[in-house]
Amino acid sequence: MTLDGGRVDAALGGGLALAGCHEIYGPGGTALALMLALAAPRAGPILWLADARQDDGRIHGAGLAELGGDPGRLWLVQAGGALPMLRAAAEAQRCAALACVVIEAGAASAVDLTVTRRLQLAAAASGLFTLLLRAGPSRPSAALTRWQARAAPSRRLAADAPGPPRLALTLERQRGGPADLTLELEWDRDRRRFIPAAAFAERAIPIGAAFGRSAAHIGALPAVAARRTPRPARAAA
Amino acid sequence: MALCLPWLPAERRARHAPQPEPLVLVANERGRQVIRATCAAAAAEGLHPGLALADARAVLPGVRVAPHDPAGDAACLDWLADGATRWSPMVAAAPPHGLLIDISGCAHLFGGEASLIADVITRLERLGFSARHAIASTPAAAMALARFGATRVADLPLAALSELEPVQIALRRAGLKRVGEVAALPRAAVAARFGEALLAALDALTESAPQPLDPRLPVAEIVAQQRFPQPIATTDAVRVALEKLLLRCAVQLGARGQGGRLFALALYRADGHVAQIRVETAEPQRDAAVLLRLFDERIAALNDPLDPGFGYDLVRLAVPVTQPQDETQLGLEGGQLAETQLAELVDRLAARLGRSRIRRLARADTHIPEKASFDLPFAASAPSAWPTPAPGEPPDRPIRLFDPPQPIEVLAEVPDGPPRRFRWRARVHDVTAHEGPERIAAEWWRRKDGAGLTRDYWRVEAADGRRYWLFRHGLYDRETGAPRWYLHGLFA
Repeated sequence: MTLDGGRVDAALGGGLALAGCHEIYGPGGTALALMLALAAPRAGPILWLADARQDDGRIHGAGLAELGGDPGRLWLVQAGGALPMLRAAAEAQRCAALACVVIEAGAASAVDLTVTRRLQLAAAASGLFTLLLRAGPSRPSAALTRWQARAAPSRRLAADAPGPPRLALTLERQRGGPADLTLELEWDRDRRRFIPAAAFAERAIPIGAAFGRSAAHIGALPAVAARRTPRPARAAA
Repeated sequence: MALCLPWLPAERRARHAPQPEPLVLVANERGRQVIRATCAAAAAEGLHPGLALADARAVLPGVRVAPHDPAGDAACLDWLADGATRWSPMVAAAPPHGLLIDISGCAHLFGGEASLIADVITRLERLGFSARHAIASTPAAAMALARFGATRVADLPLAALSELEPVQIALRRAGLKRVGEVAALPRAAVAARFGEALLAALDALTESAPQPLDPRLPVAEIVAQQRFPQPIATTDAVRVALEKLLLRCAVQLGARGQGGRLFALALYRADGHVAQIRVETAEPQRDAAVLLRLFDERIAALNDPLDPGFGYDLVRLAVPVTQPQDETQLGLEGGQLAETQLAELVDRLAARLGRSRIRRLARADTHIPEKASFDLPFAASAPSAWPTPAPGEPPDRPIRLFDPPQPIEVLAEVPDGPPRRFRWRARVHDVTAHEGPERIAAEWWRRKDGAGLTRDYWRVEAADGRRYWLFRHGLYDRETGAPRWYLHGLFA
């Protein structure tokens, strides 16, 4: 799967390997995992395995729809412990009808080198895209790649409004390949793919007059629609 | 068949630790201690339930006393009832001390009524319980015969008809001593003098009309079981037996064109304990290989692993819930269909983790964000339709939502203006870009008082690049003088 269509893809050997296990940590981890799962070419449900404890809130269906995904594709499994979660992951990795498995391991100490190797082998054997979300970078791992995901400042839209989501990624580790690469990606919700942020750098954003934003979801409150800051549509890509 | 275990509370205590005899079990009643149950030795000395402990001490100075635990006795009776399903599926506990087993059509499986009774009594004795038994055509009659040790219904004492003291006194004053004498009287006269309840009790004892038991466990139509003369003690042996039983059930299900939704495996240990393992499937299922894997998952996930002890001598598989199941169509290119694979995955995860742990996002028709999207158990939910976002716009709903929203401290230039800086989780974030407000009113039509504060949502980006969803709770000056701020969600 291509990320930036250039330098990083070349370093990864032609894009992110779908038949493998990739590790993600950092404050933008949830977003990156969801975006990668949505960008993956396979259809089918996305299985999201989580420990019971969620101190960063729960996944919001409307937010996932706003990322361009169908929230009905996301199947949440609350395993209630690291070991049941890993067993469920092993079970899920054998199912070829899934699009992607995301394992939200957090700081679980049970996820060690052996476990990541097992995940990686299972992912390579079944060809199932596997993402491992972790709390920090410190633990050893046998995953194909390790990414740090942070939110990056977005493009400014009119009236100083924040633009589409942008992530600053660092490829910290890659098995058998170059690492320590950084890139900034913007999520294109409509095409469900990443656009390298560098592609926008040379383009100025014209302040247009067209009001593209729909106020349908607050249609029940017309007075509010009138108060919203009008904002022109983004320049055509 | 009825079993009466008169010394159950005392014998239950003796199972765990040898008890000194004679033993009485007492409970507080209006400030004094009253005997609730006794052991056989104490009963032989004339102590009986209802006697005050002080009176009992006067009769028998050396009596030992222990507290009475009715809940534990009821649990023990249920445990015995589960074990008794080895003789017949229709078993009911008759508190406080009785068990009812419907043995119609079952006795020949054990070599006749006599050897069935011998088996029951031996097994109970091995567990440390002494029981009186009786066989009769109705449950009430069998229970009364077992309780009072009579051989004929007509010989039963009046206590079998009514527990109430006044009724018994009234019957005695009329010169009646046995149930047979009451039954000989004209029915109208009995009803007029002693009440309808007595007549109903009399009918229950004497009539042979069927009186259905209320079985403790649901009785399944499809059952397969295997007895072992030599108890099996290893998990592998259980698995082999289970596989055979699954195949037999699958044949029965296939002949009816049905699939099971619930499979209950009961492992009867030689010492009377029964281990129950249940597996539920999302779709009707009769594939033995798939079901065996589900049972494997379930057994692997048990909190207390199977403890065969001295071994299982009876393994029974029942299918209490069935549904019609059509023959499945295989994919044209071979292999399983994706839906089948996914349904099996859900079943396996459900067998391991529990059915409610697998959830799907559902949408509700409301503007309040925390109520608009929630997760439901997979089985209970159908996929809901989600609105398509307008193209070319940034997301206006967060990926992660806090429920409840997290209170934050916010600095704004004017009380109803956009936030400039906020403090969340002990860190200060400077707002570099914002959009809003998106005003979401409280659902006044759902509230009795019609009140509720309006929320002004702001999509803000902080200096670190992270995007947050904040709201001000209450309109400044119109609804509240000092609106509070909350962080409701995180964008990418």
